[in-house]
Amino acid sequence: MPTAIVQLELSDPPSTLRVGESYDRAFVVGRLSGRPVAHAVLSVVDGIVDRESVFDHVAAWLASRSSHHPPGSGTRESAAPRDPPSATVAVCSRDRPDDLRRCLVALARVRGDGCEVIVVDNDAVSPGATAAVAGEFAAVRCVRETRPGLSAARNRAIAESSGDVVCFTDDDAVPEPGWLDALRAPFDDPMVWCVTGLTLPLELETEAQELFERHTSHGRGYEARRFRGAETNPLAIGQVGAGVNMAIRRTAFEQIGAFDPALGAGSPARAGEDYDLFTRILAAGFHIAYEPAAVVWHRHRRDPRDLKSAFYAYSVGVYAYLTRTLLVEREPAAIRYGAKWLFQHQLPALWRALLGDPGALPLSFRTAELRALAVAPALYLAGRIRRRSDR
Amino acid sequence: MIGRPRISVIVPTHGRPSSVLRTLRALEGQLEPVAMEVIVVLDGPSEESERALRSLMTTFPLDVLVQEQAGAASARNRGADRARAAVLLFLDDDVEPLPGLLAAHLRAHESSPGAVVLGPYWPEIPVTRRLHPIMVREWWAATFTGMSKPGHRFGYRDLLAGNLSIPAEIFRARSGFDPAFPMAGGEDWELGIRLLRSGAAFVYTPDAAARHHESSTPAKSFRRARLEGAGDVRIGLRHPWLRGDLPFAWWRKAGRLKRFVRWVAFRAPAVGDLAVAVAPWPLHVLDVLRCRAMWHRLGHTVRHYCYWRGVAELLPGVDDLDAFLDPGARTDPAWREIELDLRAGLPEGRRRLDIERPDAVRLRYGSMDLGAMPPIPGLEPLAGRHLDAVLETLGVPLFALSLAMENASLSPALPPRLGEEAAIP
Repeated sequence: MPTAIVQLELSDPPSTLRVGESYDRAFVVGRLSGRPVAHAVLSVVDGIVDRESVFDHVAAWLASRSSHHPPGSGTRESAAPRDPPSATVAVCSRDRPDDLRRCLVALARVRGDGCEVIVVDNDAVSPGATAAVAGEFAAVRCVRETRPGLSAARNRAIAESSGDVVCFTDDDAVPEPGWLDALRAPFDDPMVWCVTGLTLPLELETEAQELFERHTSHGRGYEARRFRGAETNPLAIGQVGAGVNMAIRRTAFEQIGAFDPALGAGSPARAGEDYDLFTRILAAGFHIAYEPAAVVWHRHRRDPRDLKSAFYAYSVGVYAYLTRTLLVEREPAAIRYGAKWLFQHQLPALWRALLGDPGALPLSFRTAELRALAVAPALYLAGRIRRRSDR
Repeated sequence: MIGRPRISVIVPTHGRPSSVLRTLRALEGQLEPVAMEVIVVLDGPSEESERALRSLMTTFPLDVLVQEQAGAASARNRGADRARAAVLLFLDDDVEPLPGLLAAHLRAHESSPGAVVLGPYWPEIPVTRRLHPIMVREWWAATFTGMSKPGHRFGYRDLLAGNLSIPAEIFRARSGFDPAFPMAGGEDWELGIRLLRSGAAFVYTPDAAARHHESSTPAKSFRRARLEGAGDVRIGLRHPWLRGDLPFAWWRKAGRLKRFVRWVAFRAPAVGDLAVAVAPWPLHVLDVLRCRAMWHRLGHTVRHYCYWRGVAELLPGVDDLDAFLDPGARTDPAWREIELDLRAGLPEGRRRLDIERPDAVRLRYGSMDLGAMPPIPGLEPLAGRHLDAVLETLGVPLFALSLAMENASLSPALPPRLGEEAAIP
């Protein structure tokens, strides 16, 4: 049965948390004065979330040492508030007009002092559909990028942008009204080149969506964190965040280059462009801030076939990113990280699938991941060759 | 410009004419007109620098003083003796003020009379993957970002003289920098101690920003660490009550490798100095091979040795060191401690700290003991703006506390003993 998505304001909890009767579980996100502080999956009986478990969790959340900060006080890292930098919001879209419309409706509600919104139309199947949806929103500018791939589309957005920071979200995501304010705040610190935010599931209506959330959740926790290039291994980016919810200082692209078109959705490597950029930012010694108050809700793939291809794509992307990091960035540690991912994550997961562990993903998902390892380096190199021939 | 200037800019320099000229050109380019005078003090005669400075046409009165080399502390004092304005601004000769710097310093003195005003000077380091410049940039950035936080508790080690302004009256009343610090190595921190002890407030002003053209290398950082070690001993000599909190007092309890490094600094400095001389080579190789962890370990160990080598310059034997750090040989100042009951609310707690300015505080919530913040030698007294940081240090979940005070219905949600580790869902 599906899982309901519920939000709970902890400073004023309702006496009853009611969800639809079709749900037997609820993914409850607890907030304190609007700031998300934790989530829990709780059982639902007759459309009502179990009251005892809600209050048990409220008490535990309030006591949690992981959330010391008073509501609205910002984080330990934040400096005295100053004017936020100007921002351009970029949404790259390809053949998903319905998702894009929902995203743009949400963006229209985002507080942002009239910041610029650019939709990059990267359509392949139905040219013009993205532009038509973008045309429904007066404040949105649509540009067409004919070179395929998310990296090419994002690079086009960077070239078209005028803001001091470029904020990226995906067409299948729904940003909250306070998203932009929270995402821009850490840029007070000149060492911060990138800010990522908290990504939560928009719906958990199908088993594929549940599996996605359980096994490759975009969420990175509820505590603000700072990844400092001087102290962090630049390849240790697993907890940094994801491209669906990130902002990057525009001058960073001038210094370390833009997204690698041989990585990312639409390229042979299919993913990994965000990880690559995170690594280059940290290797240059700058900071990435993770700010959980910057929330977007992501619609995970509903179809199990899409989910399997997403797992495969993610795995190809990771190994392609490591190939790039080894060959282009000349980081020998890429071999160590690749081996670590294979031996500490993928092979144990494959073993659990072989044993039929109830919590494990289907075996075919895990074998697809291993296939990715064999082909990813070649796919990355193919992407680079294709990019050269495009020029 | 006729009449008394509002601000006297003092730039000590030593054999870097092009650098000091860049500083002066940037002072010409200030956006808001400010009645200023500039005093450049050549610390060690240099014909080239003197000729370049004396032939310079400026819109502000420029004094060039020359002295035999005696260190930055002496040069700054010499400039301050000549200064006519009520506010002294010290700029290092590799610091290039941004266009709003002078006006921002003056505004800070207007809004905080009697304060010591610190401006950031962000290092101008091109984007690189080399680890040493990255570490240098990180150190400076962490320093200035730390000071910019509203709850930051200033300490004497925040007093950096590269971009610092201070009322002339206060500077003279404290007799300026201590010329016993011969090279740049702790003279600014030492002045910071005396200023804090006299009750001066430190104010960080991000708008008074400058660029710092620092050309650091690992070898220079080793020399700096050695100066810092010697500087810390001089600080301890002048302020015995601070000895127990100097970095080398803590590092005596360090692990085996650090103890060995200290032993080398005292017993076999010739071997240690040779290792320091060749250390930049393996560091370079590790950097090129991107062996970050090993690079950090080696660099840190060598700097640690250099620091101890500086300590050993003034305290040549381990017995001297033990006598220097002997708690029985010094008298601590009388620290002021208060007890604060937070049932009266956080705003009331902040108000009391602002009025009483204690060195230490014990926090309670009714009968519940929340913990104590002991006195920390070398830090400013506690103020209201420090309360949140104190609670965080003591591990008190602040929002739970504020909810308990503001919303009685939720108070049962407070854990039985604040600060205890609780299960995270």
